[in-house]
Amino acid sequence: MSITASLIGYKDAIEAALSHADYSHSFDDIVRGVLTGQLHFYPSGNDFAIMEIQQYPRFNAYHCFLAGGTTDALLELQEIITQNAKALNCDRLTFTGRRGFLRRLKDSGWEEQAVHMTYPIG
Amino acid sequence: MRTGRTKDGRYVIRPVGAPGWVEVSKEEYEAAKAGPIEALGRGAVEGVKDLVGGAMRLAGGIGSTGTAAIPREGDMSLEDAARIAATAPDQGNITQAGERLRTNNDPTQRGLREAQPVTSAVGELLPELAAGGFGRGIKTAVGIDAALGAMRDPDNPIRGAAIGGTIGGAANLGVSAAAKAARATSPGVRKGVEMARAITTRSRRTDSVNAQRVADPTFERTARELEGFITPERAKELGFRLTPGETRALNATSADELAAANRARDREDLISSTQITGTPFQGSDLVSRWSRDDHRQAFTSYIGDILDEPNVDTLTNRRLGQLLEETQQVFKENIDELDAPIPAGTLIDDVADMAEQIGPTGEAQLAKLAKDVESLTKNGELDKQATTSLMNLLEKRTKTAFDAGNYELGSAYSAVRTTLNDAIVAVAEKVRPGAAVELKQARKKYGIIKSLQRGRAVDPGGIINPSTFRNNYAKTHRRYASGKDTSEFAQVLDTVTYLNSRRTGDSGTAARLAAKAVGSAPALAAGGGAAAAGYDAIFGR
Repeated sequence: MSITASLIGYKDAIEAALSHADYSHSFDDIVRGVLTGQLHFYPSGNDFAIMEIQQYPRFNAYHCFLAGGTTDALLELQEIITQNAKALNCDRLTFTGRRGFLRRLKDSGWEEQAVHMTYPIG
Repeated sequence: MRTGRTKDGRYVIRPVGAPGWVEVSKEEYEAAKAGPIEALGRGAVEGVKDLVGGAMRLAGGIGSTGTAAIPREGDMSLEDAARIAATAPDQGNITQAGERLRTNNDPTQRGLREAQPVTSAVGELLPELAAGGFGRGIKTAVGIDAALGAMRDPDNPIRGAAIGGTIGGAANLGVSAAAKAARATSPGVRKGVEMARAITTRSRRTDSVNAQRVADPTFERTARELEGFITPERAKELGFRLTPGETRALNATSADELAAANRARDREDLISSTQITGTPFQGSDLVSRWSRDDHRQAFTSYIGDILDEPNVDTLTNRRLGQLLEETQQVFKENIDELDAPIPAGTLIDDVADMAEQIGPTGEAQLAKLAKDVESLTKNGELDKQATTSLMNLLEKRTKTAFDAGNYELGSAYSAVRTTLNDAIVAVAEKVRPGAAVELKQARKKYGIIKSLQRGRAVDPGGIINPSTFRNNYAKTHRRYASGKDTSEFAQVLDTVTYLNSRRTGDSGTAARLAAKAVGSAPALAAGGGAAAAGYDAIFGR
């Protein structure tokens, strides 16, 4: 199956995840991002993750930009993502999620680094 | 695709949606003349991009799942290709990827050969296709026209089959499977073109314009005007405050000028995103974010005028609901007064045509609609009650289809509604001269209001987000979505969407968090909400 067809298969789930990102992207933006290589799409059964490399002056992070699935499935996917992150010269994985993940991931090596805050400007 | 000869005898072609004429060889000119299927051509070019991109990453030697690792597998339908053509018009990457693919001693090529021998063979068979690039992209489309001819050529079946496989996007098919793809192409071509028409929005199309324009024997207008944008003068009349980069973009007469103007716009964006004040940059005081806000204001006023709502801050959800009710009332009153049956022949034909074209995404639903229309029809006509029932039914099903993400089906329902409306207007005008104008205005308002109500097209302050509005509008206005709507409204909509557009780079997280992240990991956490079916973990950003 082509990448695009695969993405279309996950369209509902991706759009559901985008709602957590305040609809910063449309589904088409995601397809474009994946096809142009800016975003990396990891489908796995009913679950998926979309990653991107974030470059900072002192390190690179492999950032989980969107994801949807069961925690267990995503943690399984994390293994291959970690391998790829190393190959891509990234020294950490990152993601933004709700506070519930703190508890859920506390035994999986994930740590809270900071709080992401937003101040809406009218 | 239009073809022509310049006064001095050169051969030129002009694909649909391209900003101007492109000089080609005689052979390419002949091929273009023989078969205008450039929509498919674009799709196939993008399909190659898809597979080349995957192979490139494979050659990078990283993991074994995800797009970061897997090149293409299995086949790729024309619908996919058309969808890609609409969603990833930038062909710059194809050029890069294709050139590497063509270089025999490139490690990418070796990696590709090991992993995908057939892909590699196809790449060699069609170096032009693999090389891509917009200027070449047009020629590629022509090449594919010719390829289709080759496919049908009994003397050259293998080449045809390989090309067929490429058009179908089959990266790892053997020749026999590719031959099947080739045989299946003809019906697929029609469908691919239909789908491309349905889903390619004007702005996507215009974003893809990079071709070098050659002397145009007919037109003196700018590239942007040829694409359907309004002139800078008209934009200023409407209240758009154009930055120098935007003015240059709207005045550009060639791809080079357009590219330079867009680079200027990028710099303007950079200034607005990295500086708080409008510090002079290269002699200009530019803060394009301000002008974007200004464009939104101007566009909101423009829409307000159409809706007879001069105070833009009154465009609240409640007010929009009232306005919608008012426009629907115009229709209902006309139908009530009409008391004349509506001929249903065209309607039934339309539904049947669409059911044939749409395929599995809505075949069953449209077949059901055809039955519903027939059951409402008596002696080939719809009476008052049946007309109202059908209108309500179509409105409900359109909404359900769009809500379920079935864009093709939603568009098809919407098109049926347009046909019904046209029939009502035609009958109403016969019964009561002047009714057509009234109904046309009401329908225009109806379409605009519905587009304002979906998503977050209007912010709480009553200011319209042009991009969201445009996306909503394109979903229910097929003529606009396919680039056939040349009204000023369509031009203004395209222009303001372009003026408000930004490049889609990464998610933006890095830039926003960079300041906090110096010396530490990036800041994370927040979000929350409902999960998709069966998920206990879902997040974005």
